[in-house]
Amino acid sequence: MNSNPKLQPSWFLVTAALFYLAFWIQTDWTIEDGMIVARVARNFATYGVLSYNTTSWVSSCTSTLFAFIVGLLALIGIPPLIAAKIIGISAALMGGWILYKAALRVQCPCHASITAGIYMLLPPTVAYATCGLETPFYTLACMVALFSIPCKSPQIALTAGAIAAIIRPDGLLALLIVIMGIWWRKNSFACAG
Amino acid sequence: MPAVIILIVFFAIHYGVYRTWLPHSMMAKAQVYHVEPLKNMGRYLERMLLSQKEGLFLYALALWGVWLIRKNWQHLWLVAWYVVYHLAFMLRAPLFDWYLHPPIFVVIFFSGIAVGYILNQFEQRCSHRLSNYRRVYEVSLKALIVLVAFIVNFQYAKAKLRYRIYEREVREAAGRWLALHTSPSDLVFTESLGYIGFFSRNRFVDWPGLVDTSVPTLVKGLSRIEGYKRIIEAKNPHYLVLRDIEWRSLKKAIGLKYKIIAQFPSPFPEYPGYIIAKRK
Repeated sequence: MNSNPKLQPSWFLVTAALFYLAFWIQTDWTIEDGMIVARVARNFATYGVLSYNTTSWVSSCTSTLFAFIVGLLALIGIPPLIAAKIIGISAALMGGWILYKAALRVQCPCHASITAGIYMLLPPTVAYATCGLETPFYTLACMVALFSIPCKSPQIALTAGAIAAIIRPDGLLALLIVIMGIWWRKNSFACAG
Repeated sequence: MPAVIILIVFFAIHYGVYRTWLPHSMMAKAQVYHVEPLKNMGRYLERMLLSQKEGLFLYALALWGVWLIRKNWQHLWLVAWYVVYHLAFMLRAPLFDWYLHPPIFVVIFFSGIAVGYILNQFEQRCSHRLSNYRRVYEVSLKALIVLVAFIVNFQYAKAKLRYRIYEREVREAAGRWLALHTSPSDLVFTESLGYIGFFSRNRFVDWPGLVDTSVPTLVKGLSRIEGYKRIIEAKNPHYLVLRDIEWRSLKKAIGLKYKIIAQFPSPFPEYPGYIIAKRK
């Protein structure tokens, strides 16, 4: 297919953005634990305490970093629930773009855009983009880390792996795989050389 | 180097602020949720593969996709992560749906490769006819994906809308009731910290102790209801916000000390209603 790769992502990015917004408006769905993040972020913006109860500092969210970022946005006046969903939608869209770029390594632009489109329009992807949790943000970090293993410079993969680990502790698994992947690549090149 | 700096800075700040290296919520869940690896594995696989049976063909396509690019080892690290991630969760962590989502991109990446292979075969066979209608063919493919996505998302959204109605009428309503009828300094016990906590301004204590560092050790080794009793005895909260089934289990033990002052029946039979009980 002789398609312009620069134009291919536009259809799935625009369609996905519309789906995410429609889902948000239609359902106004926030997952129960997303409301915990929203309360922690609200406490940070209102009282300067990044905690569920303002009387003590306890890290009550699985992703303290995500709660902190939502809190920062709340600090500039964006309601925490809306801030969490904006981050979710942005991360999901960026994730689709990363998947497209990765698929381009093994597919033509048209087919790569279909792969990314299927992922972005999958019902759980649509729902979790607006669920209020760190899920799309964490997924994006894992995607960048894992898809960057074949890149020449290991820095991007390692940095994204570290970011995944600080978003959610199980991101250490992604970091571990990245380290193994880079080590394997270096050794196999050394053997080939 | 940047990766090491990121990790050191974050965990040092986390420890400096909270006096724990890892999120307390994670440690509380690990202490209290009793996960039987084999049983959890069965439930996990069932939820992962069978809760949306129509998605099973994507897994089949993904396996085919892995086979198609088996010689390109660099992409097989995705498979390694996919397996390690799911194993870690199915063997240890309690099952929450949102843990299942992150690795889905791996399934779609490989199933996309299989779909691309099928399309390639079709395009090669019909290359003569397609050459004049390439643009129409591409647009039709994408339109088909959007149409299917619209239909399945519509069904999915209906389920989530139902969930939202439940939250609005039950847990959000309970939170709003607390905001209206109690003082912010009143301590509330509940297991459901999300909607109830967001729509109220009270101090909370919970099971399994996500918001109070002393709770996980207090309830370690106890069943859920025994844990509730222990927390209520130790913390003496002014209010309890419980599922009606939890209240029925606790009534004998704490019924003399607390009385129901508000009820929030569920609009759907499959979800529980909630009660608010006040200390006498």
